[in-house]
Amino acid sequence: MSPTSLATTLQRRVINLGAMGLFLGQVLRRLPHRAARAGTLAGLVVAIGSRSMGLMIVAGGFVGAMLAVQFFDTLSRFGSPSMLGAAVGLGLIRELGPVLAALIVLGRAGSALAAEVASMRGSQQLDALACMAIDPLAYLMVPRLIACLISLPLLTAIFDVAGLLGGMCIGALSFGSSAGIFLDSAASGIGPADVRMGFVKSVVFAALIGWICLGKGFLAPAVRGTEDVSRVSADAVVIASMSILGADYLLSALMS
Amino acid sequence: MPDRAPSAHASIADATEVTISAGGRPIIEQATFDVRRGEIFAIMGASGAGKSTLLRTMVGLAAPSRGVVRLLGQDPYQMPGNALYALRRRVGVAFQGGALLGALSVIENVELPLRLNTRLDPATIRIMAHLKLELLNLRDVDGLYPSQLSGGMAKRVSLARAVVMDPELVFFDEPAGGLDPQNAAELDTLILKLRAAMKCSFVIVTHALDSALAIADRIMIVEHGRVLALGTPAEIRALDDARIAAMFGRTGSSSVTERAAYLDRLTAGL
Ligand SMILES: Nc1ncnc2c1ncn2[C@@H]1O[C@H](COP(=O)(O)OP(=O)(O)OP(=O)(O)O)[C@@H](O)[C@H]1O
Ligand SMILES: [Mg+2]
Repeated sequence: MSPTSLATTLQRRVINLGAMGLFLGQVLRRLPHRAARAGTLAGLVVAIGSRSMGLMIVAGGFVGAMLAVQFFDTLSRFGSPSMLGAAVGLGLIRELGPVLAALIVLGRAGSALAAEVASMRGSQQLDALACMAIDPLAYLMVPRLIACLISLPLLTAIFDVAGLLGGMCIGALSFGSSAGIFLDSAASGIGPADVRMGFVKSVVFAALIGWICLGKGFLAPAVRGTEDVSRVSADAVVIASMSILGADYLLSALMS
Repeated sequence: MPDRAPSAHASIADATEVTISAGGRPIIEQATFDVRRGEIFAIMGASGAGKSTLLRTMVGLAAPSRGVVRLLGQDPYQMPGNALYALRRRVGVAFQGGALLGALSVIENVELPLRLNTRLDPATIRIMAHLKLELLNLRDVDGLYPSQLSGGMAKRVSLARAVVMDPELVFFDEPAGGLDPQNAAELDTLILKLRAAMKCSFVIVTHALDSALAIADRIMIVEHGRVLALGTPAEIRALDDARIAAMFGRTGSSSVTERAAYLDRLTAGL
C-alpha cells in the first residue's frame, strides 16, 4: 500500500469514526426527550427476543455442558469435584454468558438491524421521514437501541440458566454428582459482584451492538442494491464482534 | 426571517446560482429559477441529468456546494433544526421510488405525519388519511403493505402521504416513471385535482413531455446539470433549439391534435 493511499485510508477511518461518534451523541441526546412508545418498544423487544430465544437455550445448554466437562477434569485433579456448580456458574455468568449471548444476538438480530436501516437509507425511507418532519433518529434509532438494551440482558440470563441446567445434567449423568450438590455449589459460589459483572457486560455489549449496527446502517453512504445492504450488515457484524471481544477484555480487567 | 415583499409572482421556492456536487464532481451547475405560488412547475431532462439531485437539495436534504435555495422564503440550510421541522410540515415530498415505510401498512404510512406531528385523536387522523386516499382513487388498500402494491399504487400512496398535512408546496419525483400511458395520464389528472382541491403548488420531476406540456404552468429543462430552458409550455414549444426539438421529435406525439386530445382527456376527468 502506498503512503498516500495509506494516509487517505487512515483519514477515511478517522472521519468514519467521527461520524459514528456523532451519531451516538445524537441518539443519546434524544433518549430522554423521546421515550419510545411502549407498544413499538415491546414489538421490537419481542422481535429481537424471538429471533434469538431458541438459540440461547440450545447454545447455553451446550456451553454449560462443555464447561462441566472441562471443569470436572480440572477440579478432579485438585480433589474438589464438588465445586463443579460454582465453576460452571462463574464461567457462564462472568464470561461466556454475556460474550456468547452478545455474539449470537449480534449475528441474529444485529445484522438484521443493520440491513434494515441500510435498506431504509437506500430506498430513501430515512429521507422521507425527515421530509415529513419526523426525526428518524428519534423515531427509528432510539427505540431500536432501547430494545437492544432490554433484550440482551434478558437473553443473557436465559443463556446462563440454560447453561447451568446443561452443566447440571452433564454433572449428574456423566460424573454422578447430584443436582443438589451442583446447585448448592453454584448458589454459594456465585456472588452479587459476579452477577453485576455479567449484567454490566451484557448492557455494554447491547449498547455496542445497537450503536454499531444502527450507526453503520444509518450512515451507509450509497446504498443502491442488495449487495450494498449485505456489505453494510457484514461490516457491522465484524466491527461489532471485535468491539465486543475487546470490551469484554477491558471490563474483565477493570472489574476483577 | 425577512419575508420578501409580495410581488405579482410571489415565489414559493427558488434557487440562485446553485451548484451541487456529489462524489467530487458537479451534478448541477449554476441553476437559477423560482417556483411561483400556485403553479405546477415541471423539471424535465434525460435520465441522469440531475433532476432528483436538484430536488433533494430544494427540499433541504443535501446542501448545495454553492448558491442559495429557499423554501417558502427561507434557506433550509441556514436554520436551526426545530425551525426546519416547522418548515417541513408545510412542504410535502413524494420520492421517485415511493419511499413508503416497509414496516407500516398503507393507511399507517399515510397517517404517520399526522400521528407524529399533530395532537389529533386517532379517529380524526384515520378520517383525514382516508380522505386523501380517496382523493387519489385509492380504496380498499388500507391494510396492504408497500411490498404488495403495484408501482402506480405505491406512487399514489406516496403522494397521499405527501399531501396529508395539507402542504403549501408538493414535490413529486417522476409521477409517471414506470407507469403505462393510461396510468400516467390518470396521475396527471389526480395532480390537477389535488391542486384544485388544496390550492397548493407542485414541483414535478418528469420525463414525459406530453404530461409536462399538458399540466405544467412552466417547464424547466435540465441537461447535463445545466438549465437549458425555462418557460411556459407555449414558450418551450416555440423555442428554436435543436436539443429541445429532438425531445419533441422523440416523443412522437407532438402534433397539435394529439396534444389537444390529451388535454381533453385530462380536463374531462376534472
Ligand atoms: N451520491 C452520489 N455520488 C456520486 N454521484 C451521484 C450521487 N448521486 C447521484 N449521482 C450522479 O448524479 C447524476 C444525476 O443523478 P440524478 O439521480 O439526480 O438523476 P435524474 O435526473 O434524477 O435521473 P432519473 O431520471 O434517472 O431519475 C447521475 O449521473 C448520478 O450518477
Ligand atoms: Mg431521478
